[in-house]
Amino acid sequence: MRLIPTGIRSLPALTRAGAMLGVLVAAGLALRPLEAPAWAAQVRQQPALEWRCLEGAMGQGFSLGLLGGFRALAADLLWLRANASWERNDLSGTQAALRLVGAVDPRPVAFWLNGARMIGYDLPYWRIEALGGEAALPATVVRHVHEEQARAAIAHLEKAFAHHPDHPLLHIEIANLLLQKLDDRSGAAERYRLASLQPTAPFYAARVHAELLRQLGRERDAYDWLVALHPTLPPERANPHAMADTVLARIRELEEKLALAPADRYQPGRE
Amino acid sequence: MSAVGTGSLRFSPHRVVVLASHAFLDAVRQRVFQFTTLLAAVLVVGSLGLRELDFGGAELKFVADFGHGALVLFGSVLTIVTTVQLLGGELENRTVLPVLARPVRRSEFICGKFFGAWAVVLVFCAAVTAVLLGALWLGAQALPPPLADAPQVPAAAVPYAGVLVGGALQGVKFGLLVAMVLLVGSYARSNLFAQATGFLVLVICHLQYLARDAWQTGHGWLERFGGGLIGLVFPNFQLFGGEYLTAGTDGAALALGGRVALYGLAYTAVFLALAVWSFRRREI
Repeated sequence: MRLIPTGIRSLPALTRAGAMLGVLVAAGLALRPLEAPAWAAQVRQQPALEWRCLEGAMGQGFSLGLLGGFRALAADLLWLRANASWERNDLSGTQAALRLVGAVDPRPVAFWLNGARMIGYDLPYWRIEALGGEAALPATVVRHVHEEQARAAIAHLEKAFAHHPDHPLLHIEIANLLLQKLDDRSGAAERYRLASLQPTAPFYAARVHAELLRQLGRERDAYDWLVALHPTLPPERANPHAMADTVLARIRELEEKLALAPADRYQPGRE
Repeated sequence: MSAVGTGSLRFSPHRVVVLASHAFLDAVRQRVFQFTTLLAAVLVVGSLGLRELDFGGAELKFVADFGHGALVLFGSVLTIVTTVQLLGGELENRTVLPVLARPVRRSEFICGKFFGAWAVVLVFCAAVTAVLLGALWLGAQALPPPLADAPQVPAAAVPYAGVLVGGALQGVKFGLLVAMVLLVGSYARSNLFAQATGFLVLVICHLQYLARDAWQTGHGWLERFGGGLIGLVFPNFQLFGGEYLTAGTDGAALALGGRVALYGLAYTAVFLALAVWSFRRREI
């Protein structure tokens, strides 16, 4: 305290406030090297609340809850709001609530997956109904609406990758939209491949990738993929979800189709 | 000013400890401490029954998030109210005069109030964190074994160590908040003003990162200057509750936690020094 000049005591209060402000600014600058890396790490793993998205959309209670730390609970309540709008087929209400959920708490993958399903699979029917119904509309318009919503759902899921890089379920959901709504087998196969490369991907992702390759006429690629996959799977008895026997049966089918010589065929346990 | 000249009186840590222990005992007797601690603990335990309300995350994650929310919300309320009552109460009731009439430096008085209030909040943090750990343990006992439908099933690991780190960092943050409220209280003329300003400061500190954003990406010099000023003057409270700290307790996470704690303690020292300086010039 003695470092502070005693003469300043006689200066007006405004000067003292200015001095305090100066000390705090200097402290802020000095502590910046401690703050910046920690904040960067925080934003990487848990993005800051997007207040600009939330502005005016929520009541004071929600804002207080968010500031108080009840972020997960606030997101759950907003998810309830999204579902209530969904039950009423309220297009704009559902979309707005889904955006809010993502802004408040982007951590749960389930919100992104289920939100994308609403956008991609339910909203097109509401839009078509609002336009006069499927029977009254040209097929091209109906198809256009379905494709537009599928792309919106994929865009919604792509945003989730910022918070869940390479999450296998996000890749799988995009693959299903590409397959079922946009008839893009090649894109879906690639997404299933990306999903299967992740250690937490469900076993079926790799099997579906091979099946899509087969449907695309790329039997040799599918065969090579399954031959590489089979030794990595646990035995059927140890884990039925892995379906090692099914994978082996598909390998045999493809060997027949590719007319491979007996010597070239896959032998389990032989590298 | 003190009735006794304190110019030649040396700063005594012993007197600070005596003042802090009195402040601590005074604060724990207050209903606000008992009420907030009990309410936070009940909410944490009650979150076990609210798991049905969770739609997005894992069950234990919800309990951990909810418990952390209770710690942050009620801890903030307790910190502001207790600090204002400890300092403002003495000023309003004029009980500060007999204390300062003794050979006690004003800096010792403020430091005593600081450590007393901080100790109360640390007890609150320890109690709520312990209840949260218990609730997580109870919740973990009721979880079914995970289905191995993937080569590696993400383990539903209970983040015990992360909760401990999170609780400790909240304790550091509340210490900083105590120092900030003491600075406000050192010039405030009423408890109501001090409390209202304390809550305002809390909100600003939680939203400080927006000011930093405005500083770096704002349009026009006014927005950038204003954002920069707020971003530098107020500490970033969001740093203390980051999931990056509680998600893992590996070396990198602990190093970041240590960095954040150091940041909080350094800011606390600055605000406490300013509170002392401001209080020394106050007419009582």
